[in-house]
Amino acid sequence: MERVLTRVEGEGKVLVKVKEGNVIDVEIQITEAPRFFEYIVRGKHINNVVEIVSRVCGLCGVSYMLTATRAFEKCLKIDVPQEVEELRRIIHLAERVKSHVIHVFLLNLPDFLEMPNSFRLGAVNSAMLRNSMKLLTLAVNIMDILGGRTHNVVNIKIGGVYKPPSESDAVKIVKLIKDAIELFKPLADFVLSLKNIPEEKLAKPLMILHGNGYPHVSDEIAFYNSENAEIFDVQNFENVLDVMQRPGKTALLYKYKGQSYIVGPFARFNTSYDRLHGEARDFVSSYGWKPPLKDVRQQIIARVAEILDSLLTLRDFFQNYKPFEIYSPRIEPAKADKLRCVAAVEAPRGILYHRYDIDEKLKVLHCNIITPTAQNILAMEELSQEKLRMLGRAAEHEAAKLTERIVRAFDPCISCSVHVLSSKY
Amino acid sequence: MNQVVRALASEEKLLNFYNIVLFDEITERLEMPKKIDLLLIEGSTVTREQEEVVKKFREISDFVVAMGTCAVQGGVQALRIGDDIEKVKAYVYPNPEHIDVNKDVKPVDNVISVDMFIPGCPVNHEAIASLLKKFVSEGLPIAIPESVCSECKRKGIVCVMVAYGIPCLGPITISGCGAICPSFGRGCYGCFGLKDFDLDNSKLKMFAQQLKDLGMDNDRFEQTVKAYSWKTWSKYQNVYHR
Repeated sequence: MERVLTRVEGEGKVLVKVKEGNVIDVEIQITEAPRFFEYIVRGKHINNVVEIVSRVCGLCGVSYMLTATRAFEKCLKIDVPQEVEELRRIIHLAERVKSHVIHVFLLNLPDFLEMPNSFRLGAVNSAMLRNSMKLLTLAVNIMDILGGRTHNVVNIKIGGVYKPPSESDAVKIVKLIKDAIELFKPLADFVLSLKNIPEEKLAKPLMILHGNGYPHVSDEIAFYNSENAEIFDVQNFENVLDVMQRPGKTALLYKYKGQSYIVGPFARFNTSYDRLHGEARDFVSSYGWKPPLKDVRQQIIARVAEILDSLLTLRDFFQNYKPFEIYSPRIEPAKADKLRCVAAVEAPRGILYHRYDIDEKLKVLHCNIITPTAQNILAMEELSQEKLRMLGRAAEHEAAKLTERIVRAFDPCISCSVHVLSSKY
Repeated sequence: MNQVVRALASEEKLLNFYNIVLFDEITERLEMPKKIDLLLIEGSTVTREQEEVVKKFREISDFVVAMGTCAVQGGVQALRIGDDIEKVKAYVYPNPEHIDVNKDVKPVDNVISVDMFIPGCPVNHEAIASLLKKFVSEGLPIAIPESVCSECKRKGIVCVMVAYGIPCLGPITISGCGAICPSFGRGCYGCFGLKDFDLDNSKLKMFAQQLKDLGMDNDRFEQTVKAYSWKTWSKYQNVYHR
């Protein structure tokens, strides 16, 4: 049976093969037409590339811009002052809030309420619908001030930002954050109190960017399975992953040492709970939610925790914020005829990796992008199979729906997973 | 998705007037009616299948809006136009023979007739909200043809090109964004698309020279314009020398 994936970003399908009442295979198919980003950035100046890759994703463009700028800054040895880097991380966290608010309240919540969409909420709980829409408006208003607009933001460039927020911007943002936290807590209360969030053992090994704080921006990656943790440099990312392609299919699937794994909020929450903002930890744990979350369908809990963590981090930042001078480092031509530029950030859905080879004129020769959804697809399929096999014949009629819910819990971004197709060069 | 949801979020009552029948990113598929009052199309078409879908929906829709730079102009994916599609596929895909993609990237009005265009990468949510509000009262927003410069003037934003010598595509770009980039002290990069009025070959050629004098070479100018203005730019593409 086949079912169009709805309430996800982009176009995809789940295909469940059933034989004599038993599920034999689950496949996530990507039906969105490719846009060939790895090809179209070739020959383009790195400044243009930062703008172009922002268009890969309709929800996490800041993640793309931040990954690309960090890759170019590292290979060209451009120093970014601490305060500028911090501001960019804050813009990125604002995007995490926006992306998670959309997922939790508009895409994922209807699954727990047996509704086709969140707008139907209006009929049973109009305050809930009204307030979640208001929360979204506050989140995008914060992004407007920091980035100019909600996506394809204009305030990130190689070497820093174009314009730091003014003192009056900071005052506005502090107010918006205060309102957002106030509005968010009762909404979060509703989510954290849901009685029907599945609690089975349905998980895989985890992968995060490894650093000092809650996973965000780092040059090290950590892989966790039940026994131990392994840490490696982001420069080695492509070497440590096994890339598989199914015969006759276009999607590439990623494994680490023969295992599928999970990136994103579920991985971050379960490995790094202790590094969440204290208030966020207290809030979530007061409802009895603690790591490890056992079932991937509990990711909504991790997102709620991350929304609050990010809002609190934003609040702390802007309460002590002082505007600074614009810093514009010159971007000099590269000193070698070929430079490898690599970086990764924790996008809302998990590790986003970019690699660009550039020439001395700062034009891209080759590009490879590994997206969070591409890394998660195998885990989504295997976990769906696992769940459906457990149910056996009982799953027959609901198989596609059950699969869709597991898939949707990951907040897959199909637009970006068209990039499961990596460059063969 | 962002901007449509944001438009819907901006006015509580809007949801009372619209029954959203097909919007995969937001709702499960509900029963499809035989007639659609308002159809918003995002994205350009790159496969025959997409063209068929668009045609099918045109037939049952009263009013069709091409929404966003991809639908209006082609979008960044149009950067590959002119290159051998087999080479493009082979660059990205290990098995290019499985990829069914047209040689061209078509803006929506190359496939069907379109009643209204709302440009922008992304579109301005206020433009969508305005359309949704006026459409229910049987009206339409009034388009005012002007460049980004007009928005800078109205907002009192200092001209980044005149004052700081920063290359800016504002003078040749259609308005609608609210002059976001100049308000951040940077030049416009034309993501709402080239003006298709009040511009001709000689004007564009002169302007390309101005940008070159300020440090944006013709190659970068061409790449930038092609990325966000394929349809309009292709009319002017002979205006300067590489």
